[in-house]
Amino acid sequence: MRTAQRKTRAQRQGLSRRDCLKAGVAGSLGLAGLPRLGAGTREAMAQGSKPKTGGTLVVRSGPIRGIDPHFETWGATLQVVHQAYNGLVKFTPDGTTIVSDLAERWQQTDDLTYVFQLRKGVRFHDVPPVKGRELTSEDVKYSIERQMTDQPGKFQHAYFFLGKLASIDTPDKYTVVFKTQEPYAPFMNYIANPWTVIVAREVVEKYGDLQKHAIGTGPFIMKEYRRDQEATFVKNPHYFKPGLPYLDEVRIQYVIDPAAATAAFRGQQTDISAGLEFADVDSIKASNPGIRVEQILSMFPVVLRTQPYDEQRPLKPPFTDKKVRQALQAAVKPEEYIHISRGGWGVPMVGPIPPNRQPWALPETDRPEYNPQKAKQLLAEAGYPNGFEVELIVGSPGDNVKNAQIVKDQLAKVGITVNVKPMEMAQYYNKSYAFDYALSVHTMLSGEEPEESLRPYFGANATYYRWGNQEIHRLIDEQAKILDQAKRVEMIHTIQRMLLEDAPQMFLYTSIYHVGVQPWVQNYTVPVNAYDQRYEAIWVDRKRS
Amino acid sequence: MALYILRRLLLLIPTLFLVTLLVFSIIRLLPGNIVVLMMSEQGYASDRAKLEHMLGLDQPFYQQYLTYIGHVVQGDLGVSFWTKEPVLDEIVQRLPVSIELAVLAMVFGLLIALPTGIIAAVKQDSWLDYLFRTIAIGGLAVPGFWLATIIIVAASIWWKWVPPMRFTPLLRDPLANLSQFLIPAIILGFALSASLMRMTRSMMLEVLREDFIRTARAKGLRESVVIVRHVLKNAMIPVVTIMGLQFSALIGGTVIMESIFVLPGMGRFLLDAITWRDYPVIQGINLFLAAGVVLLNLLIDLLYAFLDPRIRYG
Repeated sequence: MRTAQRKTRAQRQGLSRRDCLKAGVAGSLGLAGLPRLGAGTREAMAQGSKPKTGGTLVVRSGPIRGIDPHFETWGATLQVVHQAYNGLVKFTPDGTTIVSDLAERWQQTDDLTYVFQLRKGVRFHDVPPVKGRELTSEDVKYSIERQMTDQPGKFQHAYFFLGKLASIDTPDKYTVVFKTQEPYAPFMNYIANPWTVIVAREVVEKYGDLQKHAIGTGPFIMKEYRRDQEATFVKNPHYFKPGLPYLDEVRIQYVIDPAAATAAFRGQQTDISAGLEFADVDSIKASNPGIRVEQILSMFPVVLRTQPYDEQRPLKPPFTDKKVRQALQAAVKPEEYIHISRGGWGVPMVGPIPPNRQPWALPETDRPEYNPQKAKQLLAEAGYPNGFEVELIVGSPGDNVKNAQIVKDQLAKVGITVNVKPMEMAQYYNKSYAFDYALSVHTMLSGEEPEESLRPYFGANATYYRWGNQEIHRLIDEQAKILDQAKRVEMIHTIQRMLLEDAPQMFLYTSIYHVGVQPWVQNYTVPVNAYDQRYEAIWVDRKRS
Repeated sequence: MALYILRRLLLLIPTLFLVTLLVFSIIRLLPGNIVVLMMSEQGYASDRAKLEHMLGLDQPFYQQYLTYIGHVVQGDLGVSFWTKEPVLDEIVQRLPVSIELAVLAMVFGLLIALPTGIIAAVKQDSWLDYLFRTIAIGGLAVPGFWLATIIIVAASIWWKWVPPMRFTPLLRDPLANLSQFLIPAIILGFALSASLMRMTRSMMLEVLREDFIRTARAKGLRESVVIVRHVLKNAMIPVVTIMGLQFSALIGGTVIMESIFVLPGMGRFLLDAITWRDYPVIQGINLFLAAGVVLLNLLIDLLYAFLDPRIRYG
């Protein structure tokens, strides 16, 4: 295929792989040497302009089911959540460093103990039932315990801490002490996770849940929430960060259709719009040089999965032979998927951890070689010199239907006949989570915590996939106990290399998507974790249009 | 007449009962189990049995149905499996949006179809007839979602203008509300007008050849009176039938328009519910839609009597 010879669009535009990895980092660089100031002031100085107060920011959002931060999973929920709540700590926009939020300072006193000192004088929103009361350590304890409830419908983020914590103590109003049952390396990443926010017990007790009410300590107070329409926030005048927020109002507006979202951005109905259609990026930039279109790597890599197996579901031929799986690995070329499905906007994956998750991701040198000849040879060695016929399931609609056709095309070149079976998403998920397929094209999840790309897929009793290699299970359990980051990185690299050798999945690519930012939006750094949206330090300067 | 209406309304009860039974059964027969879907949502539950119990899906089928029907007769359509919102509340919020869109689309459809249909019939085989018929074919052939996308994309590129994409309830600000509904209603109306125009034209042509029209003209009636009072009125019965069918289809079938123009109506809601196997929502919406179709059919039957006095119910 001719496209295979081309570079990806990102490469043609002069974006090196390194640039792609750095996407979204700019705003957080160069701040380390500045004196300790209010977060907003510091960021404003970094951009060399004076912040303006007032104004409204309109942000495009996607579908949303509810806004309970502890029990929802859809990304758009976080756009709402982060205006109203804070966490103890949070990630910088580049996703590499954990910085203060409600906790003024924290330290790990031994392998099992983490002590957090809360800022004093942080107040909940001045609305009933909390009426501006002060945040205390009891709120932190309550929130974490709420998040790790093992109840149906309330289990989405329970895995962060459920079965991992020995105790949560609150020796005084401003101190929280977490004790883990054993050394737990992901602890700080999960405490900084965008979903781990602090809520007030009274609000939960008053409304039964937090699906329609967001009352926290955050920079904005929710004024109105209409599911599938919009969420409107107004400035919290008593926010604990001096001088913040700058905006008077934030409106999160749901526009589901991508073409309509792009049109709304062109028509200046939205100020920030994620997921602009890639075909429109050049013309949007040409229409107004002041518009910023930032490129961000998706957190959802696309993979080709072979038959899952565990003790109840043994591997079936032809996938019993590792050489067959390795043949598939040698027969797929990620660049073709990027060109055809994403118009060139994507980055090839090496292992299961996306390339911008440094230092956890494998280096490019580990990427399996595209070599159809080797694939044919491996198939012959495995006893399939003429290939074989296999069914591939894929959920429709979406890019993966196109990806499945590319798999069919690529594997045909080494003699494997793929019968693509697109199916409605609900049916596909049922097949997928019953681990009942020979091949499937799937979109993985990932997060700041590297374990999220490993344990739910390749760990013992994994949720999304089953791979019965017990040595890999053991190492995935082991890495979570290694507190020395350098050693943990090494272990995680080893696990990924074992996965490349075992070849249960072919890690294809992760998309680059585009976030449009209008010229008047100032001090906004698009976060690497697109869901981790915080608008407290943004200001709008309408003269810059 | 009153007895006829009462009898038709009583028929609503077994019809809706059958609809509930059918929808209740069919969605459970669809491949794609809600429990597996929920489990797959980042481990929605650690224990499948607990989740099934929470959803009431651990009961035998007949018991689930009886419980559901028991609640329905008390006006309780249940709560969404995913959002935990009462289904009735969700429908009540969305139904006015769908009805408004459907009514406006019908109005625009009729505004286009009736004049063009009448002119095409009266000026049969003239250039106007050919023009309107060509436009009608266009309306049938061009998909609404394509037209909608082209309109918003082209307008945003050329004039940096897009229709308002922020939903405003009608009663809060009628002008803002109408400005958001205008374009989708015109696009939908254009598509509807195609079949309405063709039906109006062909029925008009048929009626124009009837003896009573010749008689009306022979009496010396003005041509406009002949066309409007005698021809059009008698040609309207099939047109009204089509309108009824179109209106029913519009209430739940404008998914793409709702998505593009950010209208929180029933179509998108139903599609999402089907995608995520939200049984109570699918059941609730279908119950409403079925009741709507039955009532609309009744209304259309009553309209027949108005349009053609020979039709009598009793």
